[in-house]
Amino acid sequence: MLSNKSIVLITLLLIASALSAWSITDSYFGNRIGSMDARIYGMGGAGTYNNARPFGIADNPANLTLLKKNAGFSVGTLYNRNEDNRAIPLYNSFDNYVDDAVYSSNINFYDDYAGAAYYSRKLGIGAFGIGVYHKPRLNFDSNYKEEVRNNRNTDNDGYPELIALNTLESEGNLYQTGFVTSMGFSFGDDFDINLGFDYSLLRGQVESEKAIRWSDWAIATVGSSRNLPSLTETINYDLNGSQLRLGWAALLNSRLGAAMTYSPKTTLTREGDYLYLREAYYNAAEVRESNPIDEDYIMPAEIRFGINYAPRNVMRTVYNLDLEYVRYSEIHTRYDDQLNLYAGVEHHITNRIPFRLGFNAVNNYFFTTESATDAENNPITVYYTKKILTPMITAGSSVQLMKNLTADLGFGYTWREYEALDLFGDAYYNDKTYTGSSSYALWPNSHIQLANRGWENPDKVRENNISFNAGLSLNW
Amino acid sequence: MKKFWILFVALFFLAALTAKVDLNTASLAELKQLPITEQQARDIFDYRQYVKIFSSIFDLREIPSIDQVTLDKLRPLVVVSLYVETDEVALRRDEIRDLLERLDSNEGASEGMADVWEDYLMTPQNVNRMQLDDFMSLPNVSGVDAVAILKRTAQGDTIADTRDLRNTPGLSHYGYTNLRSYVYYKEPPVKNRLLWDANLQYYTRYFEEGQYDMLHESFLRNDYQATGVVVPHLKNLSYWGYFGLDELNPDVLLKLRLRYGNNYKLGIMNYSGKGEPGLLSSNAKDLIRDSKWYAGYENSELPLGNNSRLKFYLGNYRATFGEGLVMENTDYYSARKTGFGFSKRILGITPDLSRTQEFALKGAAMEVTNPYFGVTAFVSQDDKDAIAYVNADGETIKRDNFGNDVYTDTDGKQYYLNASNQPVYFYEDGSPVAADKDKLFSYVIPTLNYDNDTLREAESWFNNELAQTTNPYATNYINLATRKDILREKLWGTHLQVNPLLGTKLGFTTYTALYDDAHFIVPSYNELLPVVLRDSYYYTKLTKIMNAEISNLYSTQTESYNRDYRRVIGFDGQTVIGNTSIQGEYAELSLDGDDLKLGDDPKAYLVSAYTQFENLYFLTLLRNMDRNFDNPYSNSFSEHERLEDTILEKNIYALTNPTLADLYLNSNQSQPERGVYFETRYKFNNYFTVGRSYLDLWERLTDGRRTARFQSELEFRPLYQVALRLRYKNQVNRYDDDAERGVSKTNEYTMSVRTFLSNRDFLELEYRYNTVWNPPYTSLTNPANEGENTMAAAMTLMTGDYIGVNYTHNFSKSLKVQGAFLYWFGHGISHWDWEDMEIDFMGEKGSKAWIAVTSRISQNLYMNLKFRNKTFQDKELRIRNYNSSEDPVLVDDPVYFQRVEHSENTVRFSLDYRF
Repeated sequence: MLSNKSIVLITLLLIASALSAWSITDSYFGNRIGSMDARIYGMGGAGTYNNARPFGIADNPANLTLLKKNAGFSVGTLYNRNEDNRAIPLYNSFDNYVDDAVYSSNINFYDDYAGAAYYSRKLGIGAFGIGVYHKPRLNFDSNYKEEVRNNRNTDNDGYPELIALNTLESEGNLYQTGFVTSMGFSFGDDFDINLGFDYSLLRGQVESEKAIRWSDWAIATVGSSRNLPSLTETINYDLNGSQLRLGWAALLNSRLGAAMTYSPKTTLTREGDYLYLREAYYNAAEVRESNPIDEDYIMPAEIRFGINYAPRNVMRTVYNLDLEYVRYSEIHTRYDDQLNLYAGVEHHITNRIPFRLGFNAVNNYFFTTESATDAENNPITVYYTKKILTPMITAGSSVQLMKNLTADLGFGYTWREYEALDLFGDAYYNDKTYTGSSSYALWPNSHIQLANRGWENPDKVRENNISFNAGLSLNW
Repeated sequence: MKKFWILFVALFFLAALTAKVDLNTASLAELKQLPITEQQARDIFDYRQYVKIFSSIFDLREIPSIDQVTLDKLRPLVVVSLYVETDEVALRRDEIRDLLERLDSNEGASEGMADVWEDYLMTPQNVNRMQLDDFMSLPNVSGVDAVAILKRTAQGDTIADTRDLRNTPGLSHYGYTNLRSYVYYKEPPVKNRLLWDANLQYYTRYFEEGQYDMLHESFLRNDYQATGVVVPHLKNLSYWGYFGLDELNPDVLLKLRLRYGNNYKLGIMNYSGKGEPGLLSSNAKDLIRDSKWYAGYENSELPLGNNSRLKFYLGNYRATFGEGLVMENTDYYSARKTGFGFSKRILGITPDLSRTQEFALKGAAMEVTNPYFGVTAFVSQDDKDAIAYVNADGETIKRDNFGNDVYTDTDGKQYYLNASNQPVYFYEDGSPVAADKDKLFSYVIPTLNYDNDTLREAESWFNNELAQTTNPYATNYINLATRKDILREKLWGTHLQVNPLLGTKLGFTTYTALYDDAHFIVPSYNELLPVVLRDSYYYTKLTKIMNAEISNLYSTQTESYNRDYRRVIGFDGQTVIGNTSIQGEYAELSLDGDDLKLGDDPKAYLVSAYTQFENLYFLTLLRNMDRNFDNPYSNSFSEHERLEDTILEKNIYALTNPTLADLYLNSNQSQPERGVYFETRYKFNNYFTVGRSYLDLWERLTDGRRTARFQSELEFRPLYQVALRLRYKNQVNRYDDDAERGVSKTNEYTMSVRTFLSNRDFLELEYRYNTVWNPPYTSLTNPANEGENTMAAAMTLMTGDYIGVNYTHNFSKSLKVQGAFLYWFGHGISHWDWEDMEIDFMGEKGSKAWIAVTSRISQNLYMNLKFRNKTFQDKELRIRNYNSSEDPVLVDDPVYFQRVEHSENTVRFSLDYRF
């Protein structure tokens, strides 16, 4: 299926999500992981200007000399709980669309790990530093289970019979190993300029499988003379490439800092195999389709600008605000460039225990295709592109364990709501197709219409993520 | 010699003193010279730089790295000089912080007025030069208070300070405390300088319940009841499904205001609501067109005689006069707007950056006033949204000047249809039929803001489904639809005022809205239903509902006149006698009568008397608005908004286009009512207060429904920190006829306990219990024979309750956290809750929690982040007919999905920079 698409389509398969979430919607496109710095995580992810933690070098290479330390080391972990609820449109007795009712709910936990280290040295008014970090850039982990049941017994507090089990499973990461170098020039206590350069290797391996398995009850009910065809679709591939990023960070005066990063459009290779296997049934042979994948995988250019403001405040306060411009139009004209907002504040309440609070609103795209026919009845593929807004609120704190050692904690809550096509079309469960019979064996209710739902009746998806980011940072 | 020694010792100590390091002025390098570590020096420097200026040497102990031993070591070596920050703006803002917060929390209700009041708080007016309307425009200041001060200043007395103000004879304590922050005496607290305010607000809100229901209505085939017709279940046959409104779509507001003192003012605001393109997808031209802006000049010391003043504005402005019967332009309705307390009107011309879009005035306005007279003139030209009559292809229907609907044939020739439905191409005088004016139904404030092409595409899709019928129903296509910016409204108006006596004024207001490119055509009562309803099946059922309010909307063409304007003329006045202020306004909408003759046109009037004592006031208000007084620029006192209870509210499913319900849902006008309203508040002593209590007796003029509504509140404050409140509300609606309509009674009991903790923290527990006794909607139910009452009838008695807790915690002056949790069980009763800055309505059953964090990042920068989760269950819905029950009692009955749960996450993020 996907491997058969034209190069235009391949170009469209982008890494677009800027959400630290492990969403089934993004299982193919990947979930971009933002800052792995737990302090910045609690401040809404606004970390283009980060003069406090070693992980800053992964967000902006110029942060390396901005830190004004000799050396540092950070490790971080990110735990995420993703809840995905899918709902079906409901109609009342007037055939009026009234609402949506959830038919499938999945909750999964995922984790990620990262580390960063740097060394820098002062040379007169200048400073020079090198650093390295390793972090997951994209996460492809996802799990989805959906039971197909008939509606028998529901009125008598019984369980309706399970007909089939649908699963989607995906596992993999695109890891980013970045080599960072930065130069800083200090023109006084409160004025310095830093320029950084980041060259990252991007390597990843992804394995995903979509499967439909019939239940024992369904197989037994249909009988051994007829086969209910199970379906398996697997995609395994490697992602390879490298990315450049330029960074600038400047302390403009004792209160105000500004920073900027630019990463140009990056093309990765995506190589692997695709397999589609549907078993034979009574008048149809087995379908086995196997294709190599050899495609481009595009990451759009990003320009991000941030400020850091440290006013006088009875609770020592740092305020960060980032604006990110993502050039989605470089990928396809169907996409509009998007502006993302990140903001966060850190207040030291008492005894240097900080309270952090943040917000971000990130737009990302996903797209799906659907088969249709044009005016002359020729089959065509229709592309649907959808922009999805993901707001996030964050909070965080930290504990200073030793003089130079700090443990940071960050929490985030995100949610989003959008429409999507049904992941498993209902027509597949029409056992009449597989038995040749004129009546259902698995569906006691003869009124049921087992047809695939298209965009005229899409799923309503509500997702939320509760994430927890913990990091240890050491600075000398 | 002795003197010499004294001098010597003094000099020695002085020298010793000057050798000490001043913690408030020392550079980092100087601090590093002290016998402490480099890090400690840095910590001291950072504390001064980023936390606060040292007020004493002991502040050093607040720095974690400085212990007592270090402090003792430093003590002889350092001094702390007196250092005060003298930014007058910051000082002023600190001084009025409570009031600013209060205004912000009222912003939702007063819409744009908070900006004006904030400006007056920051740069107050000179109390000795203020005029009656200046006082009347301030929150919580009455005419009696105003006259008490005016009497003094008119006699040449000068009020020197707050204390002097307080001693003004006749000025109530309440008036004084509310007024004192809005005025200055000799020297303004902030001298003329540039002040600016930048605001960003990002808000992911959901549709309100009525809007949600409206947008969910499907466009179905008319013959769905016919057997053998398969009605497709398509989500995208509703606006909701078609536009994918399940997606989160934020409202974004950007606002910038600049002013130099109270003289030069400049502002721009862009608001993108649902359906509107965001900043990035707009082109620059559209962005400027869709933004509101103003540039203004105000001078309160005109050289035109004693105390004359001028206001001149270009761009968007608000105009408000009298009691808002002729002119008070806003998109937002507010019930029981008395003009007293916080429910005020800011009289005259004010700059406008509110979210009002439809009834925004854009043009030029000038106001010249002095203590004896005032002249205001304003002109506006703006494109307005309207409900237009459209053809099956979505084209607007044209109307000629003779009252004919004009169509265009394929050759481009225009024609109208005569009585026998034959096309007529020429008028009787031989000239070809010609019409270029659109036929419009009414102004509208649309919920969806898509452009006309997008709306037409949607309508075309819906029409396609509606047309799948062979039955000859009235309408099988959308015949009325919202069109953006279709009406170019040119408006001019004036207000003249004389103030013959102190505290007495007489005013004359008029405006005329010119419609060069449109005719407003609203059918009479009998012809209305086929125009508005999709299916003749509903006609008889719905005639019982009061639709005369719709048929009484303003038309520019009727049998008796033909014109291209709407004109409203009115008089207002105010006088203060003793401790009573009497005010009122009379207005007429020009219809059949003579413009200058009173009593021959639809009228509206309102008179109120406000009597004030030290701890007590009485407000009595009489109002009457005729059914056909359709003035979209009015915003006067009423209990309900216009078109409530009509088919536009109750029968959205039957409308030719569900979005017609916008006329009611977003209505800004008062409902035609006649009634008397009485309000009081009395503080017995420090323990007992009867809070704002009112009784309103009124009749809805469209259908004669009479209502009595009473609310009273008793507060008992045994300790200053604890307040117990009891509130009771009762409303009875009844008709004096013998139709099946009957009485409905509502009771609401509320009890709350509030504790005012230290550091301005606040905790409140509230419980509310309601009962509503309703007649069944017999017109919608089948006969009550056994087995025939298959449709749900309304419950005759509904009970609901609500419990909530509110908490505010101030960590410091810089960080405030507010939150609430509440749970309600409505049973069909709608509950309401006042959150930090907005009101929220809750139906059915559910719970919600919200938290709002206000962070004052610096003296000038504020961040506010609010998150709310509201989880509730919706009405019962019958979903599937085929889920037959096997229950022996309910055999073959349909099975109901009990309720559908909703969970809404709302976030509001705002940044304010005030300088």
